[in-house]
Amino acid sequence: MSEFLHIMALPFLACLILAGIHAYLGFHVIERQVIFVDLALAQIAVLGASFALVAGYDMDSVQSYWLSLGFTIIGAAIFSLTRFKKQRIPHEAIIGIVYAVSAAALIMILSRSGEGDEHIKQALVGNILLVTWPEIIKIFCIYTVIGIFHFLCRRQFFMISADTDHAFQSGVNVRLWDFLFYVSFGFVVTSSVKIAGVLLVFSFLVVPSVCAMLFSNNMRVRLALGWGVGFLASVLGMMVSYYLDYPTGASVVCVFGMLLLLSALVKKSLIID
Amino acid sequence: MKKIFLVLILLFGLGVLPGWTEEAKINIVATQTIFADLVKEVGGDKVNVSSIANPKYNIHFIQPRPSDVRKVAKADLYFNAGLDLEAWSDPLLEAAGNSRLFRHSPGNVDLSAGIRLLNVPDHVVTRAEGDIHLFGNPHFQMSPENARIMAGTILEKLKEVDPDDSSYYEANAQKFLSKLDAKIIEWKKLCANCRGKEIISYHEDIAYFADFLELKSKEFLEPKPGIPPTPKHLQFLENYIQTNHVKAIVLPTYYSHKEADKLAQRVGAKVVTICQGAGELPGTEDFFDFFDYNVKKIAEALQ
Repeated sequence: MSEFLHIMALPFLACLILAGIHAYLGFHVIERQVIFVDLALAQIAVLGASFALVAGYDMDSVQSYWLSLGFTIIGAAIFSLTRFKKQRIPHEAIIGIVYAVSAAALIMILSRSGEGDEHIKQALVGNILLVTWPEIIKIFCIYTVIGIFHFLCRRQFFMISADTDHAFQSGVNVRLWDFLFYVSFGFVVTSSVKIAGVLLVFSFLVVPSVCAMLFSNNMRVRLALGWGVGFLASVLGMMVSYYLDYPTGASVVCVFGMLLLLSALVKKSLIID
Repeated sequence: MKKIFLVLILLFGLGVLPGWTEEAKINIVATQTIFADLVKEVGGDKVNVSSIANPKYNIHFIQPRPSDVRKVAKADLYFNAGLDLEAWSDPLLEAAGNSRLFRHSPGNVDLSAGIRLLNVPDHVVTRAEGDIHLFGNPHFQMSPENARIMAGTILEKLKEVDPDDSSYYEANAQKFLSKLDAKIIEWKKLCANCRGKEIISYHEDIAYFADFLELKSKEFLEPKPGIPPTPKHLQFLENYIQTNHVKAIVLPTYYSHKEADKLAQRVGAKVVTICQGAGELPGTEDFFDFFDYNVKKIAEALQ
């Protein structure tokens, strides 16, 4: 048991921090029906980092960080500017296009730069098993700041997510708030993807919210349920990974899948009763 | 005076704990299977050896699992390639938290020590040259000659941590080295006809093997290290192979064989799978089987 703690404590802590912010952001993402926005923003951020590589800076350098942040902001601008009162082109389509184009642009840039794509790939894969204290402290600080920002502006964010038409009518500057939402969201996913990889981040974002939606329409209840699911998946994922010796990130993702299935079964039996 | 004291302490220790000294084995983790096999050759039944990297995957990019962290946390010695080959090694050591094995600690044994490195950059390296290795080519396990030096490094370390069994380790090493000497002659003889012939490799991981058998290896399927073949580069290689009569394209199992197959088909060359790790293909688990296989394959292709 002490050995289990020794090896899995840091990955578990990292999972809890990820669960905290992503289950919350996932609520918004599901309500806005922009499920794959995290993949698109992560891809844009990596594209920014690749420009830093071409200019001769390291993946971990300050220049690389600011460039990927700058690209994330451009992505946020694209997503907020393409949101209209009467949406003719589905927002999901734009997200998909941004994802595909930035992934392709990345391939083109790397082929010219002479930098192997493996460093870049690492930025999208991550291995949560080998997470370090400095990384944990870094994401904790970033997520806390963004969490506080979202708490202070909760009225606007929730109003837009829950009922966009109402938000437009009541005079809220929807585009500005959308922009702020996507910038802060981009900040979060870029840091978390580096540590945990796209698969795990996507699961932390979407599965808790979807599980919670099965049981309640109330926002507070859904958030609480979502955090519970995130916590449970982290605990079980660590155990599966440790005792059955599977890659840690993939174990957590599959546990998430099982939990969703279980939730659906529980929900069904509740209805029949 | 000090020496007498040490001897006394040692004798005393042996007298008091005979059972313990007999049973306790040295726990060793090696990054690669071929290193683990060499450690077994020298350490015999006095050591417990396991390896981290599955030879079926590219050694540059291994994703360690919890059992790997556990193994490293418990190990007394950690044998690795040093240089900048195993990028996952330092994070793994850190996650295991076993400070005896951290880089530059006595428990962390760099097997590149004493090896004459090839492809050492003679200028300041920039990113524009691809994923280039700053200290020289780290795929040095591919020359049997280097096994001599590695066996020496292993022997010294085992004697250092377990001086009581020094003569046992020395006898094992001697046995290994004499077999190696005989095998090296056999391998060179098998490839005598290949000397001076040119091969094209996918990645620059063949340098030491080519050096050993005196093969020429100048061009690679990768236009730069770490970058998959581009159409223009493949066109260049097609012309290059034809003008220079290259007969074989070599690569390990884990790189894409598509480009090599297509190129080979066009120019009438052969694609040869050359293992980089012991156990990459069935029947290559043992150090000698590994080189038997590789040498036989290249000899067949270049005859």
